[in-house]
Amino acid sequence: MSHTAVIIEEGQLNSDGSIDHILSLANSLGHETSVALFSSDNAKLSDKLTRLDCSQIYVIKNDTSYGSPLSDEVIISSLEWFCKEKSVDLVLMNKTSWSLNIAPRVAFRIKASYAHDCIDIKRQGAEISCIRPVYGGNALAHISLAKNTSKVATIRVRSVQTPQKRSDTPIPITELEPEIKDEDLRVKIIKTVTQIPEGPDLGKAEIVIAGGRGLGGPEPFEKLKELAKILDGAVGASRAACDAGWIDHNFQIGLTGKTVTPNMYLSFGISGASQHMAGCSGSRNIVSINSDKNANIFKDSKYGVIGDWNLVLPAFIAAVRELVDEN
Amino acid sequence: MNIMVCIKQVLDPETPVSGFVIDEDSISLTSRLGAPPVLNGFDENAVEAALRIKDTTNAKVTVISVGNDFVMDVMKKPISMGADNLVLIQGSEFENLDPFTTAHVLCCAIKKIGLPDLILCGRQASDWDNSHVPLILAELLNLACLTLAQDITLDSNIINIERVIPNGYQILEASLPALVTVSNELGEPRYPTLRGIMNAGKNHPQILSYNDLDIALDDYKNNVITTKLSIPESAQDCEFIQGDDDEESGRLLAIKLRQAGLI
Ligand SMILES: Cc1cc2nc3c(=O)[nH]c(=O)nc-3n(C[C@H](O)[C@H](O)[C@H](O)COP(=O)(O)OP(=O)(O)OC[C@H]3O[C@@H](n4cnc5c(N)ncnc54)[C@H](O)[C@@H]3O)c2cc1C
Ligand SMILES: Nc1ncnc2c1ncn2[C@@H]1O[C@H](COP(=O)(O)O)[C@@H](O)[C@H]1O
Repeated sequence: MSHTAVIIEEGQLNSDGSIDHILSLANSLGHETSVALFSSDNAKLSDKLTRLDCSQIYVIKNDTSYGSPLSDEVIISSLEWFCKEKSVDLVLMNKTSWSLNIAPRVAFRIKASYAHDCIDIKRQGAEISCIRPVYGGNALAHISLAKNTSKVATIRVRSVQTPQKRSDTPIPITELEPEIKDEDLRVKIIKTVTQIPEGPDLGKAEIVIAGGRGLGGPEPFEKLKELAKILDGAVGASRAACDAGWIDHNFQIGLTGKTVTPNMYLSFGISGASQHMAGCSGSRNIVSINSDKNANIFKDSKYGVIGDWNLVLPAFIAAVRELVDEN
Repeated sequence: MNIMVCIKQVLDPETPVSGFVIDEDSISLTSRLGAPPVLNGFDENAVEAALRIKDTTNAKVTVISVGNDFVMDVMKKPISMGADNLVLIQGSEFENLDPFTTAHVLCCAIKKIGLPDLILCGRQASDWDNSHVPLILAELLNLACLTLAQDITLDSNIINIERVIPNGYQILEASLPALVTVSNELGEPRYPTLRGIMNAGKNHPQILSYNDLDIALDDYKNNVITTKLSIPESAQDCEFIQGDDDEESGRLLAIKLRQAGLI
């Protein structure tokens, strides 16, 4: 009996609907699909969540003495145990900074073939074929996972278009308590510090206003924040701007930063390197202001202004303010 | 205290899109202009992290790489920054290895040279952006694995790292020996010094070849077959908004966005 399991990050159940997207992908691959998630508290699983459209929901309960959040090692061993116990032959996870460090090790332990950061997955008989961006997105690799092994794949968030509908009937929930070894407790999480920026969440904002190295310093980001306030948008940045210390790395968009898919992505002084576009190319409308007419970002933009942001931005903000105030 | 840093040479990721061509035989990208490779950026961050520890302790820093066709200027850069030794696991057998096999080769070589107290790796190599090798290496060596460090502190046998997470950081702790992956948030790598460059010139890397390692490479393949590479296409036609001057362009853009219902 073939069994696909979708693994969900602790605390990510309610967050952004990406579960329904990856679930629709899992279901499209045929075979029975289950969802496995980590929870120390069953009460938090609202009734709505039990209606994820799959055959089973497994709640992996770890002893609270293992810590919260759970360390990578505890999660990896739990998943290794789960995959063996439930004879999972395909594991799917969203590619996040959480799964990045977990999926390859789970694959290694269950001797599975592993496909990382896929934007497309198809089943062809017993084989799974995937497409994944490589070289920072400058190329696409077409890969296939061998027939006779189990398989693990991570999926780039938002690369699946249609979400799975929720089920009409409740889905059975099974609790599991995996075995954890002493060596899984070698790395301890001493402290977790989160700094949530004010304004709408970058991942969910309908308008994202991003600045790059072309802005030349930290002050212009204050202007972008002003614009974001008027438009109820969120501010983002290229890695070059973050590395320069002009804005915190929490605002970084791209391959090693956040992925955003707003209705409008408005960029100032960003060249559009493929590693940056990896985080924003799913935006519905990209609008770019850049002084270089050959900047790569114009290739992905719907509207563009070739010009100096020093002059374009203040006039743009003033005009936007007027237009928004008119309403 | 012995620190080992795993490094890899890669195509310059700053190459413009049009500068890449696909080599159909090896199913890999090459530089159209034959531009020289660079040291993977995150590996420079890892070297920097090692050197910061060396700055305050009497640590010895060894860099190690698996591959073929090494460009010596690239591989010796860590020495010119202040690292002590360079080990190259070199040979045509080691060309285009998959990450699982690479980790096995590194594991085998590290066991031969002697397990260090601390292994540092880049968070990912900017060729396939995998971030697999360090994780699998930690599995093979059965080491505590701490990922995405933006800061590392050592207190005798205890290592603490600040790990980058979305919207913040975590403090992780483990006992040595351990393996740590380093992210760019650690900060700019230092420049080579004059003395370092002279040391690099004099340095003879320790070379290990296939026959020095008792290893059957085919055993470790991860059953992933790359069938082809392609270059993604973008289909957008950009409409440029142009006023008489930049200020007017800014105003016209606002009006355009309003008409398009975007603001
Ligand atoms: C493995 C790896 C991962 C990476 N991950 C990321 C990532 O997650 N996110 C990311 O962003 N990058 C990432 N990068 C870096 C990426 O390759 C680029 O270096 C980076 O995105 C460049 O940032 P930028 O566009 O701001 O700067 P630049 O490329 O320097 O571009 C600046 C732009 O500003 C324009 N400009 C200059 N002055 C003005 C002016 N007065 N008015 C208007 N325009 C002006 C210039 O024409 C230019 O186009 C990664 C790189 C690697 C190797
Ligand atoms: N061939 C190699 N030789 C030495 N270290 C490597 C090699 N490939 C990868 N690494 C290390 O593993 C990290 C992640 O690489 P990857 O898993 O290929 O993305 C790199 O930043 C290096 O520190």
